[in-house]
Amino acid sequence: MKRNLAALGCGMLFAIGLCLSGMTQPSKVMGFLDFAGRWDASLACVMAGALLVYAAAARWARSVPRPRFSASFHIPTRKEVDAPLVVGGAIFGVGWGLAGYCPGPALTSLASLAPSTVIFVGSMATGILVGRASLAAVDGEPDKQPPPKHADAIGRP
Amino acid sequence: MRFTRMVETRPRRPGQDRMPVSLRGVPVVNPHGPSIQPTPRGWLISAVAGVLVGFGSQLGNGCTSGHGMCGIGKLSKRSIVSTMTFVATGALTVFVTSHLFGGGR
Repeated sequence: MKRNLAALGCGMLFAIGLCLSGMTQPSKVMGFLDFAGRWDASLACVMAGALLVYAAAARWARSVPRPRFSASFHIPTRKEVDAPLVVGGAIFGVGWGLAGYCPGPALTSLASLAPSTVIFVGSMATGILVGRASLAAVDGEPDKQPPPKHADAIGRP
Repeated sequence: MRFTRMVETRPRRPGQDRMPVSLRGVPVVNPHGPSIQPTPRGWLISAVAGVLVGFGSQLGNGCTSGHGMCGIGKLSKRSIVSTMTFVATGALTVFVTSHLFGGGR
């Protein structure tokens, strides 16, 4: 219960930050990506500000033995740069540039119930399911990339 | 009240009076109603973009938040490479859709 409340609070804080910073406005995001036009640098400042807060929070997190509502921190351990990372990032970027939405802001904007946002989130869910299915089919090593890693963003033990 | 004003005035700042891409159907989140009319063309673009974002984030193990924020925040080489890749292809996509085809509004 406490864990779910903490997740709810973090989600709300995240959503408020995304809205205030303009990340939920696709035109603003595309303005940031429009280096050849009139480049809108403000989202780079959002990123820099978020990194400062994150770095401080992560530093503090390293000093505590375990999270308050979980047995341990879930920190990605992979180090190698491989083809799926680069190809996946490239595909993601094309979609991001087309719509001006990435997953977090898209989910946040779902509250607006704008038809194109609903369509975007629906097709994003489809893309996620197809991606997971094809990764599982290609890999065949479920023990190497266990699904709980993704499903457990709030850190269930 | 202050929140409403802040959201309302942001799009009118210099440089924000213009859509960089002619995706009229893609919404601008605005509590006072969408300023861009949704069209079937915009919905189609949203659908294609959604699939790409969903699939790409799975294949690449992360998105703007996961790689761009948390990953770079801990100086992960994978995340730095991924972020540079998706900012590059995102910028290329905006360049193609707004400067080569479409030509603004």
